[in-house]
Amino acid sequence: MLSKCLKYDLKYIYKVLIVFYLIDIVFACFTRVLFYFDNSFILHIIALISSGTTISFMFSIVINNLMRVWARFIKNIYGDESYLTHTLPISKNTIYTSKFLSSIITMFTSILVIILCIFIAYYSEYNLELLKNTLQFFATVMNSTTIKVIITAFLCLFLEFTTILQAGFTGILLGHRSNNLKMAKSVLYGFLNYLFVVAISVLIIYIIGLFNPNIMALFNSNINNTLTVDIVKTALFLGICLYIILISIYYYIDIKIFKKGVNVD
Amino acid sequence: MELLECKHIYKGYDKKPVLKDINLKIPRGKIIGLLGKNGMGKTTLIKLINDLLIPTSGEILVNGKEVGIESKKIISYLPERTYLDKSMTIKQTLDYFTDFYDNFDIEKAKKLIKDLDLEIDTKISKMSKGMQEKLQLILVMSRNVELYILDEPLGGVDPATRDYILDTILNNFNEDASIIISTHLISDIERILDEVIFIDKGKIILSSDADKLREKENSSIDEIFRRMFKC
Amino acid sequence: MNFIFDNDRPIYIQLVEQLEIYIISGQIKSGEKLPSVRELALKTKVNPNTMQKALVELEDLKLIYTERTNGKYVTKDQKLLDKFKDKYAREKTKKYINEMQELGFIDPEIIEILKEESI
Repeated sequence: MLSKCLKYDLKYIYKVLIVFYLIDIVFACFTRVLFYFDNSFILHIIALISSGTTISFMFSIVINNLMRVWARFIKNIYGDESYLTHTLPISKNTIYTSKFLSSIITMFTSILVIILCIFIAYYSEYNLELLKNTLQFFATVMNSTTIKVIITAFLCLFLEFTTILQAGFTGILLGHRSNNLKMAKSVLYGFLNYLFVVAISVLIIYIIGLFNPNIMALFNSNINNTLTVDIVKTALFLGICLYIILISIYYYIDIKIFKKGVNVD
Repeated sequence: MELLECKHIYKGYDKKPVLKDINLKIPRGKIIGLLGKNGMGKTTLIKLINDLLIPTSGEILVNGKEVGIESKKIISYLPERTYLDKSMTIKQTLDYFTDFYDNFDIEKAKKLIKDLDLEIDTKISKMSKGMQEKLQLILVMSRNVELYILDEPLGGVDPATRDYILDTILNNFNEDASIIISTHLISDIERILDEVIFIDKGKIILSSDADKLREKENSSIDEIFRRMFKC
Repeated sequence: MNFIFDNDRPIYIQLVEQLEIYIISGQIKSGEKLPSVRELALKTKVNPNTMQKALVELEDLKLIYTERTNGKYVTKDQKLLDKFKDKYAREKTKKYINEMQELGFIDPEIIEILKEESI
C-alpha cells in the first residue's frame, strides 16, 4: 500500500514541479547560449536577465516544492480530501510515511535539478577550474578529498531541507490539534520546531564542549586561531548526526501524534 | 456479532458536548434512517464511525473490532462534502479507487457514469457541483461492502436528482449490506427505511422499526418527527 | 403498474393492498411468475425488506405461492381469486352505501341512483 500512496503523492507534487524543472532548465540553456553569443550590449543585458531568471527559478523550485508538499499534507489530512484519505483501508503509519518519503524524494530531485541548471548555465573551463580550486582548497584545509567535501556539502543541504520539511509537518500536526486558528498555529509551531532543532543542535554541541575544551573553542571567539581543522570536522560530524537523530525523533513523534487520530472539520 | 455497535459514546469540543452517551446497534441487511435536525450530532456520529474524529470516551465496534483498517474495508462512506482530488480526471479517480479498495467494482461504476452521459476523461474540477456529488455517490455505491453510510445524500437537491439518488442507492447496494442514511428531509426517504433512529441534542431519543412506529402512532415518520421537535 | 403510498400507514400493508388489487383484477395474471423481490422493490421504490414482508403476507393469504428455487407465482386457484374479488367488491359497496346513508339517502334511492349511473 505504501507504494500506491507514494505513487499518488509523487504524481501530485511532480505534476507542477516538473514544469518548474523544465522552465529552469530551458532558462539555463538560454543563459548559456546567450552568454556564448555575448557580443553586444543588448545581448549581454538579455543574458543577465536570463541568468537572473534561472537563479530565481532555482529558489522557486525549492519554495514550490516545500509549499506543494505541505499544501498536499494539509489538504489530504485535514481538508475536504481528508474524508477520503482517512477512510482508505490503510494505516496512519503508511499515510504519514508516504507523505514524508515523497517530500524528501522530491526535495532530492529538486536539488539535483538545481545543480544541473547551474552546470548548464555557468559551466566553462574557467568556472570549472574555479570550482575545482575552491573544492581543492576546502579539501586541503579540511585535510580531506574533494569528493568527500562534495558529499558533505550535499548532505548538509539535504538535511537542512529535510529538517525544514519535517518541522513543517510537525507544525501542521500540532497546529491542527486545536480547534481554532489552525493555520496560524501550524505556521508558528513549524517555525518554532525549526528553531528548536537548530537551537538544540547548538546546545548539545555546547554541552559536549563543556567536557571537551577543543570543541569549546567553537564558541569562544577570543581564541579563534586555535580552531583546528579537526574541531570543525568533529563539529560538522556531530551536527550531521544530531540532525539525523532529531529528524528521526520528530518523525517518530509525528507518527505518534498522527496515530492518535485526527479531528477533521 | 453486530455489524456496528456504539457503546457509551461521548464527544465534545472544548468541553462543549456534542454527543452524549450514544448507544447503538446496527444489524445486517437493514436500511436505517438517522434522523435529526441539523447540528444535533448526526454528522459527528458518522464521522466518529469513519475515524474522522476521535471519541472523547466510549467504544465503536465494527464486526466486533475497533475502527481501523478492517472497518474501513467494509464501510463505504458518502460524506456531505466532495472529497475528490479535483485535479484528477474521472478515469484517474476510478483507478485510485481500484488501487485502494479491493471491493470496488469498476465496471459497475463505469456503467453508471456512462448513464450520466459523463466522459471518462473529464476533469473533476470541470464538472458542476451536482455532477461531482453524483459521481461521488456512484463511487461509494460501486463498492461491495457490508455497510454504506450516506450523510445527507438528499441535502438541497431538486426532485429529479432526488429520484436519481434514491434509485442509485436502491439499485446498487449489496443485498446483505446495511445502509445508514442521515437526513433531516424525512418525507423524501421514509418509505425505504426499515428502522429509524431519532437523534436530538446529541442523544438518541427514539429507535424503532419504521412500520411499527407508523402503526403505533398512526402517522408518517415525518409527522411524528415534526410533532416531537415542533419544527 | 403504479404504486402510490401515503406515509401515514405501514408501507408493507399498502403494498399488500395494491398488489392484491393487481392480482384480483388480472393485471398480474393468474399463474404468472412474479419478478424477484429486488426487482419489485426497485419498481415500487421501496426497501427490499418491506417488499419481502408484503410478499410473505400475500403468501399467507395464498394469493401467491413459492415454487422452490424458481421464484414466486400468482395462484392458479380461480375460486380463491373470485373469493377475494367478491370480498373486495362487497367492502367497496358497503363503504359506498354507508357514505350515501350518511348523506341521508335510503336504500331504494341508492339502488335507483346506481341503476341510472351504471348504464
